[in-house]
Amino acid sequence: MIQKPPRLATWVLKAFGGGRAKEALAGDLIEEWRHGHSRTWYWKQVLVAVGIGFCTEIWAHRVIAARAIATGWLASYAIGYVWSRTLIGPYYDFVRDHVSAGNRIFGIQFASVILGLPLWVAFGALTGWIIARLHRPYQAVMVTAYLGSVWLWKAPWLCTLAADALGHPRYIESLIASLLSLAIATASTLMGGLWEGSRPVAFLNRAKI
Amino acid sequence: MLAIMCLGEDAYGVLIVDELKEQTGREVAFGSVYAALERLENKGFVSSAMGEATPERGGRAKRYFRVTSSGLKEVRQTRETLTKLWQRLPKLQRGTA
Repeated sequence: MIQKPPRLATWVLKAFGGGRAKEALAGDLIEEWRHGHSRTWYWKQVLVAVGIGFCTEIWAHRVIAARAIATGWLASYAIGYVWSRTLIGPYYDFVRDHVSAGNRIFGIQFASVILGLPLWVAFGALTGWIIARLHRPYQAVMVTAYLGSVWLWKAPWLCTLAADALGHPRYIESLIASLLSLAIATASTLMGGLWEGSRPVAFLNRAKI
Repeated sequence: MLAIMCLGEDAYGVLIVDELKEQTGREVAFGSVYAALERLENKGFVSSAMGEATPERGGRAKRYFRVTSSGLKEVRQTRETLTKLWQRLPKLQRGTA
């Protein structure tokens, strides 16, 4: 029986790897791995290939990358604005007007977890989908570029929060909540972008390049 | 390009990386080799063609590379330039120039 290399690593290479020779590179890694390398070696090779491919694609298409980042920020702002006006705002008004003072905090926490979490995931997925849809055939790279800009934007604030949490443990909860929401946003945006990229039309477009 | 020329008709990713590893004595990442090969191909110094897929490669085909005539010309010019530069260096004694 032919042993298979780490499936997740191969999927990461297929989804995020750049360059025309991605399939041949994957084949080479699988062939070389079967000569007796470890899973760690395979993962290292995949991550290096993905990193180099990402930088190469971004540099080669830097105008498109700038447009993708701008599109992502505009889309997320527009979606956030619409949802706050149509869903979140009216819900909070309902809680304020119809829920007793003692239960309002519960009402808001209920919204944050039960309603907010799926909305947050959908928000991220829709943003990722829009970026991917408008930037074929470089979907994965451009969605990743947008996410990189988000993390860069949030980094100073996260560092400040982390510093505060080190000095005052009461900020640890805020730090964890912030990291979690950023992680959910990242995962959902990637999900939306990769789903767009996995559709048969997108596959055929990529195969022609 | 020199590694591809040494390998002849059989130059594909795994053999190119093995050749580089043997000649340099260092581990070489497949991603960096493919990035370099893609740059060379964009410049017209190498060309590539798909080969056969095998089960050992997860059903993926090999990509064979060969140096083009422009690439050969570039190799010769680089060799001449490097030879001139080496000849201009004072004799190397005990590791110092």
